[in-house]
Amino acid sequence: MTTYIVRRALIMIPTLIGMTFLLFMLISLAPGDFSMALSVSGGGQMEASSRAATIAYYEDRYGLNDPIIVQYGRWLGRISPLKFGVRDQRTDKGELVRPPREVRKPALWKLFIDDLPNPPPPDLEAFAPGQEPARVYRLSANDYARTRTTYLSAATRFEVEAGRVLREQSLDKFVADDGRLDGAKPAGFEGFLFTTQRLPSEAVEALKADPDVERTFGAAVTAYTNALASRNRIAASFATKPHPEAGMPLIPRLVWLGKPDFGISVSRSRPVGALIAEALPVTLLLNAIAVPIIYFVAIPSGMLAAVRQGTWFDIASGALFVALWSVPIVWACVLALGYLANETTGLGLFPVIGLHSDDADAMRFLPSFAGGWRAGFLLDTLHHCVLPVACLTYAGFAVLSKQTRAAMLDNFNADYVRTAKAKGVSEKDVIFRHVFRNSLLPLITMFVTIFPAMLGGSVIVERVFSVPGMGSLLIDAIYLRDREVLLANAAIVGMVNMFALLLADVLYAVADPRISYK
Amino acid sequence: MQNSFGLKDFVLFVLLIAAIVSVWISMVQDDKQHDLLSGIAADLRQQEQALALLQRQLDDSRTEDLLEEISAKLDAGVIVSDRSTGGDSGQAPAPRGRFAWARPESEAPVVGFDDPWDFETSPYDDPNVEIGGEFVEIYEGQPPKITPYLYADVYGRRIGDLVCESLGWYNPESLAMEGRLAEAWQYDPGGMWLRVKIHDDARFSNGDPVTAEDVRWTHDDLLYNPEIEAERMRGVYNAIADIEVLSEKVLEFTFKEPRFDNLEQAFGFKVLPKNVYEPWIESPTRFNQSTGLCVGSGPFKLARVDPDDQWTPPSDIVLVRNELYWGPRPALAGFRVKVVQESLARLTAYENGEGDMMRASPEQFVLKSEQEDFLKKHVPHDWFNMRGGYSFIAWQCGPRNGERLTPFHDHRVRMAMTLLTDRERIKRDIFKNLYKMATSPFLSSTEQSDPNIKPWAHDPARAKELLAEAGWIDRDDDGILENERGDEFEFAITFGQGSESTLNMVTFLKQEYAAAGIRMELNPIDWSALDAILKARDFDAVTFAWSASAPENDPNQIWHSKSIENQGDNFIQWNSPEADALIEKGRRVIDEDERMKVWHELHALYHEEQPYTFMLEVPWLRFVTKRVGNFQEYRSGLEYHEFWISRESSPQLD
Repeated sequence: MTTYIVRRALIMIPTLIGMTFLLFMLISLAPGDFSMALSVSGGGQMEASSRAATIAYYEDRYGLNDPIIVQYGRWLGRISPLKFGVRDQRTDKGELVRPPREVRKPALWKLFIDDLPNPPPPDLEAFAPGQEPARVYRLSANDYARTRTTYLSAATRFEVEAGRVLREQSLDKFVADDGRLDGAKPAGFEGFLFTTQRLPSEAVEALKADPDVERTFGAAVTAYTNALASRNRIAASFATKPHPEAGMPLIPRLVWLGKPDFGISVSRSRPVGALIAEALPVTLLLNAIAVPIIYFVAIPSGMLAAVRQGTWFDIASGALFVALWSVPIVWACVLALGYLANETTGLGLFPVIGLHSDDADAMRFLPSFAGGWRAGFLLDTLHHCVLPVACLTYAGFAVLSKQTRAAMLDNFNADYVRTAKAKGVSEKDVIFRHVFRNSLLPLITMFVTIFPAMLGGSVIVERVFSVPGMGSLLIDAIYLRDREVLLANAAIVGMVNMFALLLADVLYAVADPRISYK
Repeated sequence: MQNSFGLKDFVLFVLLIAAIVSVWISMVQDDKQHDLLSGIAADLRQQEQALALLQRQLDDSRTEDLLEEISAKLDAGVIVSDRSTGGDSGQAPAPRGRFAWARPESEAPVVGFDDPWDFETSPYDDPNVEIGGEFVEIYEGQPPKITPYLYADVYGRRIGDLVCESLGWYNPESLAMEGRLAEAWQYDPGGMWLRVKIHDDARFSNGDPVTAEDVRWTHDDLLYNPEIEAERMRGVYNAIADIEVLSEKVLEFTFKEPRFDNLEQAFGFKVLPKNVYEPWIESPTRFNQSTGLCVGSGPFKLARVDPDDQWTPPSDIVLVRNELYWGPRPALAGFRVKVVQESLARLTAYENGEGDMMRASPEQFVLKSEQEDFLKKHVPHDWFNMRGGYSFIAWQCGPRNGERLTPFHDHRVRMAMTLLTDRERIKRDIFKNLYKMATSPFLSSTEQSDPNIKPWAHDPARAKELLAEAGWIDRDDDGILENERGDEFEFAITFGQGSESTLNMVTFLKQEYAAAGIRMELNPIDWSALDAILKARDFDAVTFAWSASAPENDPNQIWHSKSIENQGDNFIQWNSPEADALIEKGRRVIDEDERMKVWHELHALYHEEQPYTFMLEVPWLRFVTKRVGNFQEYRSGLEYHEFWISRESSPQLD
């Protein structure tokens, strides 16, 4: 048994990697990109040339200018609790400080010069005399951000000029749609393949001869040298360990344990972990109410239907549950809104939006009668939950009750039931002690498999009732192509799913002695 | 099976009961403390109310005192000097008093003193005004953050407009630039520099005065700090070269080039308190990820701003009146924003009284405006303002996707398409006369638009002539036009899915064009794909709407031929040297009247060239409850700080 569990647990790792890899590729190669999230609403006006620079800025910030496979590797490294290389540091305010990133060399530099200039070694004392290490780090980080941005825009300007020259030479295939050199912005594997050798010699000559290209290249190299000097300085400052190190070392300097980091959502520029931490409890609350209701209604009625097979109850409950099951959820939500929630066209019994009233923060927790009836936080929340929970549950009764009924009927005809009846065991004991307990097995495993679905949330119910759960988070992320949110969600749901499946298999063995994993 | 209730079970049972009881008791205890606290809070609210009234009376009496003082001085024969009347003989008198800060050598007039920041329409002029109360607006989209400069959407900006202030803003009625934090200013007629005097009384919600250093710091060290993720805003505010602090309240802007919107740029960005924000941006990553760090000098403020416990979506955004506000004191005590993204749920919530205002879709607006029950409690408002926009059909004037020329490269064909488009009927039948015919990208409610230009009327006969001139004639009598090479006139119109009215419109147009011998295919697309299609110029015709945010828009971004390159927004690839010249000229003219003449010329050019068929101007459609008082439909949009709200939950029946 233990070996089986360990083996299953180990298989999970490659499964998870394969799953996220597929999703990563799907998202990255799908049409449409983060520029959706970029577009300024409300009439932001931007010159075409500064547009390329802005795109470059965001690509740099979110690491989108690396080949996809590198991006995926970086993502995997972040979510893995096992981390390699230099340890991150954490400031006293809880901000994570990572080792500084490398400076990318300007594109096509080998065409113009033999060697890029090397900046002098960093001198922290001269840069910020007499300052605390943390302060030195702060100053050099700001300086690095400044020089890096300057370099980025200088490099972009150079690339746009070079792109123009290449276009004049009708070498459009080397120029990306935004006017920069293709390959400087590798959208896929071709980024590895872009080399100067592929440029025809006339194009190289034209590039070298163009004064604008030469001028912008010069500026780019100067900016590059400054950025590199600044990077060396911040690297030196980082090496002095201005902040305490994060995580726990396993093998010094090589491997360490750290918190998985789901990255930053591009559309909301907030940590994905925080977004999920906000949305997940909401979805769990709704499901924590909905799932028990489904079980408490469906199982007894399924049992009763089995015991009274063929009676009016069996037929009526079956018909009702199947009818409910076939009502489309969108329609149900709209009807609930119009007839139960709307005060003018309907009864106005339930609130329409969210899970709490406006003044919920100022409410008592429990209901009170002193000075008139006030519902309190607990009842207020339950009141708000009624409609969403109703819409989440009504379709669930059919499957469970039918399953219970079928399992019970199977067992009614089994030999052991006949024996028990023959022994003179009372009808009640036969049903509850023998038949029901044996019919419970498939229900337990069913619960385990629906558990991951509970994390997902329902997009429609959450949208209609303005419940900010996982479903809303996910659908927004899909619309805005927010890769980090989608990946984190896939990773979490995938993990939970795999554990749930493992748990189901183990429970089978525990509950049924006939099953064993040898 | 032996089932005995043993000692162990008993102990467990008792422990469980004890745990449940103790949790219950702690809840009860918590509620007792809560009642105590809410009692204190209620007392505070009452006192606040009293204070509010007192302060208002005080303000009124202070103005009266001041008026008396001035009239006394005038009687005594003191002449208030004005710089512009000074230097006639080269020997300019040394500036004194209020004008001491102005550039002595410049002829530029000092403006602003005569027009101090105040309500356009004061809520206190209303005899029924009630002070206090919370105004609730229902948004249709969720702002991910409201930290200034980090927000990127219109919702975040609306919150920023209430909490923070900039040096100046548009007058709601005249749309002229007015001082707000700026008490007075002196603007170089050449458009290269601007000297500003900040109001002496201006202070942030924490009581600190607004200083010139705050302005400089906000621009240089926050907005232009490369560690802050404000790249989008840096793309908007890009005209200022340098800000020099001259004294505590005086500063001077230097601009990169003389451009018509320099004054708007300098006056437009929100001024933030340096003392408050400086420690926050010491942790740039944390600041970049912040959601609710919004502090300013505006009439409202967030009740609590704490980096460790901020407002986060999707909870309601709750603003309270800034009791230390230096300007005209709003009657509202608070402002709350709820977000309901689903449109039916939004309307239901609004009708149930969960909000005082919501944006209506055209369909909802028409439907509800006819229901008497609805009109008893609510008022539908529709008006055109500078934040509206216009819808259009854009014709591909260049090669589609870099390959094939569409028929629309010929301006006669584009004109014919406009003449074939029965906009009057679309306006009447599909948009229920809520919209207005557009003639150019310049909204008719702004000065930029030439009022003498009238929209082209529906004229299929003239269209046929124009098409024939351009070579499109039905040569084989099959009902479809052909050109000389025998190509049939057919094209596809690209439009975003999901809008019923757009679908109705293109279906109607398909029939209209078919009657004229033009075959139009419908190409509905997902909105998220639109951007890529525009960038690739992969369409024959596309229809959607542009929105505006200022009374004067810069045509450079959409219409200049430079914006054809590098995926710029001139996605129809309209290359008109005439338009380029006018745009470049207009952007450099600082004098407003002169500039408007240039824009009017450009307007006439659009009218003749029809690069777009300008369809309809989009108004603002709002439902507002009758509880809301002093709701004014301004040319600038809405001025929330002028509202007041009736505390009676039942609507006033008038």
